Amino acid sequence: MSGIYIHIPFCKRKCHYCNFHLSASMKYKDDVVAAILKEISLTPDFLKGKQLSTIYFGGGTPSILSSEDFALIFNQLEAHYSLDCLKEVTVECNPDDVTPDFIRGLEGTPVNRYSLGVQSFYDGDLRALNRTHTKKQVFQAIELIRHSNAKSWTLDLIYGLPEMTMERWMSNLQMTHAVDAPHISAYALTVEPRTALYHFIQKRQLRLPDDGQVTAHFDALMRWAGERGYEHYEISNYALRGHRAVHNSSYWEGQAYLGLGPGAHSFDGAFIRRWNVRNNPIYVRKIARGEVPYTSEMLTPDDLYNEYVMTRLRLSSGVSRMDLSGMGERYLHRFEEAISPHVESTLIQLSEGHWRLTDAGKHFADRIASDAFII
Amino acid sequence: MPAMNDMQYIRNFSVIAHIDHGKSTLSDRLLEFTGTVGQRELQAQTLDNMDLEREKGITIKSHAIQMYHQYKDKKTYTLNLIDTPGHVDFSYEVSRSIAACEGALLLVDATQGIQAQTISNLYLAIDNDLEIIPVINKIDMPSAMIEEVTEQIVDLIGCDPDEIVHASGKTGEGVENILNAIIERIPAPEGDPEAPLQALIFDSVFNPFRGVIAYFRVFNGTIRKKQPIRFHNTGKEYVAEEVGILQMDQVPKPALSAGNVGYVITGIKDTREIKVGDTITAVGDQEAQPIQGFEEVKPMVFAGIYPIDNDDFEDLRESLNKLQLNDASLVFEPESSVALGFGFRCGFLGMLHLEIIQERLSREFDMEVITTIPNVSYQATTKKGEFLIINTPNDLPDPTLLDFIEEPYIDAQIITKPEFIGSIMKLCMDKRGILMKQVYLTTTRVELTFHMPLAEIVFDFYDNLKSISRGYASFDYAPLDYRRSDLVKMDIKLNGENVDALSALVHRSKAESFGRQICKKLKELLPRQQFVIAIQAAIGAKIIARETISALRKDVTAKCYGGDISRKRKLLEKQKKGKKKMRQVGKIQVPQKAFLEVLKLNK
Ligand SMILES: Nc1nc2c(ncn2[C@@H]2O[C@H](COP(=O)(O)OP(=O)(O)OP(=O)(O)O)[C@@H](O)[C@H]2O)c(=O)[nH]1
Ligand code: SF4
Ligand SMILES: [Mg+2]
Repeated sequence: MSGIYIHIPFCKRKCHYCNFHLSASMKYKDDVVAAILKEISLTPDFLKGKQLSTIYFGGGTPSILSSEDFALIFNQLEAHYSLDCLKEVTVECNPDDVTPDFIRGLEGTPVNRYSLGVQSFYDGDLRALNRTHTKKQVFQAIELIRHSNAKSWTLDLIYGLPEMTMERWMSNLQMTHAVDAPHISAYALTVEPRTALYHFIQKRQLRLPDDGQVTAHFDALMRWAGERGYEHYEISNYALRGHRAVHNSSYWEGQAYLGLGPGAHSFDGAFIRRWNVRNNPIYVRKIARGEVPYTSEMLTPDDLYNEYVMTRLRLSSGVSRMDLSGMGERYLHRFEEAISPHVESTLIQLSEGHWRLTDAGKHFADRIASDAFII
Repeated sequence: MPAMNDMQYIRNFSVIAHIDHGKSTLSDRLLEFTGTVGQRELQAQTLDNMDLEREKGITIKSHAIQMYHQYKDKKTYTLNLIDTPGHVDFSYEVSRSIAACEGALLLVDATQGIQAQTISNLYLAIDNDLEIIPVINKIDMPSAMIEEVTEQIVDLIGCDPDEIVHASGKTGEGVENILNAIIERIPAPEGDPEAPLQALIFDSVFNPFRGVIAYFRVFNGTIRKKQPIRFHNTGKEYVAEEVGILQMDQVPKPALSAGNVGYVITGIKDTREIKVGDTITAVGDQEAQPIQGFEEVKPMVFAGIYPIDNDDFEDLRESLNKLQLNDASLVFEPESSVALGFGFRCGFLGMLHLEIIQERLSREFDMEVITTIPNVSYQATTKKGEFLIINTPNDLPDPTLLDFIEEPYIDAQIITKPEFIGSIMKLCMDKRGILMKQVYLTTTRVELTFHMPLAEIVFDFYDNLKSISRGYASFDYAPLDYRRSDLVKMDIKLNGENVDALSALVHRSKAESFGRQICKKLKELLPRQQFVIAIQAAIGAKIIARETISALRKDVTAKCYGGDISRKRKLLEKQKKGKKKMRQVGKIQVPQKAFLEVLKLNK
């Protein structure tokens, strides 16, 4: 099993909370697409011997690509990989890009899943975040997607937004239910330094709910999702049966993936991570010279253990005792010792050979992971 | 060029100045001009050979080196230079260096003028009958105020303006004039090479292979290789396994006679056996006299040092022992704390010294430690008439048993511009200072003398002084006496539990505001935990201040996808490293730095 991630580093305009390096100008779009095509031809060995199961178009905003761009990319992929066993091919979309033409343009391609950047069903929130779409466009996009031949789809939501009340959050969840979303990614708003949002908050032009309220949003979400049959299979991801994100799961389960495009990350499934240069012009120039501009890192056994703990603690499947002892008894002991206070305070529980965070523990996933780290 | 053997061709001098006035940089130029150090070996502040000195850009230890210079008379003179530190904490280094010399270069930064340590070092030199060569340094700087500084120096020393040498350690200007002045003005050493041996130890260093190396100045007689020698003060006898002179490396010599500066290796492994200030004499010489009275350096500040991990106690002891080999001014003895377990109560020359020891422990021995709130040394007298030295607040007897407590006072000099007098007076009064003298050095410079409690100045005084005077105030002090004070012990409680490592002795009039500030500062310093933390300051059973840290509600990253994993792992690793530097006090994680930072109240 392996996956390909394709990064499209362009957005029509920058959201206030976004700290991605990306270009709001489409100036380099064609160049970047051309470079990605070339990068595909330069890197087929990375996933050698592993069946390609997933493709994911992320960003930035992949939905700004034209159907011709998609066709070019799929043709190029086809030339270097077998696309016969693809299980999931996802495109992240901004609701305002999802038009009948857009959907039609992808109809003949392997795309079978849409990830819709809804964030909120309220125009006030959307404006405050400087999103390009409106509530109305969200519903139109969902209609189109539901009637497309996609096998699944998902939407993104953000809680803990400025001025967000519990009622507002719950009504966002009710809308989500109303549109029958088979999968949800819901994130607590993170205010990154050097973003417009950070600035507004510093200047007190916007007010964030306090940690207690944000925690309550998360708790309400977990309860709501459970009642409606969603599996909370990763800290920020909820799926109805059969709708888990296959590509994203491969990140968490340590599968190999190849990242294409500026800033994209790759993992060989064993112990090498690498990431392309983020800068669009440099990326384009180097690729044109036949060179993939990346930095790589070789993970030590301790690094691998740390990553394992960090990602698995976020999953409903949890940290497996067998996996740990497979890495070496030392790791198992270390883990058991480090988390024992958290077991005591019931933030984490051991059952059937797996340690899983309790709902209370999910609020502290980072802290618990870093406690168990080896450095 | 072979140096002349005769004593009349030797000059011994030290370089003294206020901190940062360019002693080490000018020394570089002297070494360079005389060809003592080749271009390749020359770095900025060559003599500052400890990593920490280079990094901090300050001299911590005195450094001695020999140079040769051919004078106009075509004779080659031997010049023994001792570069000294400028920071107050290390003023004892200056005093011992001075004792080995006949002269001193008194540097004054042309952009700064006379500062507090310029004056204190000058007096030290005058007390030791040194010939002073005043040098205005850094004349290359555009902001140099040569005329004004000349006036200041003339006023201070009473010299002629043309006795002042103008120089730049940056461009090398004036270096030859300085060398000539050294030869012309500083008297050659006196002494009888045939008389009984008398050599003054002015410094010692530890070398892991060779043991302790003592630096000395021969005042009378001759010290020879393989000669049996006796240290007058300790009464111990050794064999001078090797004697020699100090160049960039040590150069062995068969003998060194009166007037010379050099080193001796005796195989001693413990620095404490060599007391700086002691006199080396010949074994069997019953009449031998010491050169000067002998004075031990007294620590000014005490603090507990504890290993982060209790298991490292023995390693810490080992590390402190090794540090002491290099730094005889460090003293320590074991103590224990309920909050922190087993550690050591250490005595330091000042806060910079404390910081340096802490940093050296971490760098040279990989020992991460917790330093408790520092305090000065108090004297307590009980109702039964017992006299106690209190180096830690926890040694203070119950108030009901106490007759009185005394605290150390200092004599402090502050030099500043007249416009800052008002705010500096206010600061010093706030610190319980008593103004003793106010002297105008020139119309634009005034010297204020205060008597004040040492406890009030060791912590944040200097930073406060700098900020209220916008950098235009320099400060120097010397211990004065002990005075009775109304001191109380203030305890800090975390969730009701006393943290003995945070206890402090404070003046009653200040206890409440101090307690409030400490609680507030701790609130900033303690990371939030998954439960509420109550911070309280108490005197006896009475709570005088309180703060609360609310519980941490969440610690979880929203997104963890392919591109996030590597960065996030590194972030959590960093957090883990931070946690490793924390100490568990009860259920509460206290960062290593909190114990020291807590005192930086005004930042
Ligand atoms: N422009 C200029 N800068 C100088 C001169 N002499 C020293 N400096 C600078 O002044 C700073 C202090 O110089 P040092 O030689 O370390 O001063 P110091 O007196 O040895 O300092 P301490 O040993 O810490 O008391 C350094 O940044 C030097 O580069 C000079 O003649 N001209
Ligand atoms: S759409 Fe996503 S990548 Fe683009 S600006 Fe908004 S948050 Fe950033
Ligand atoms: Mg120096």
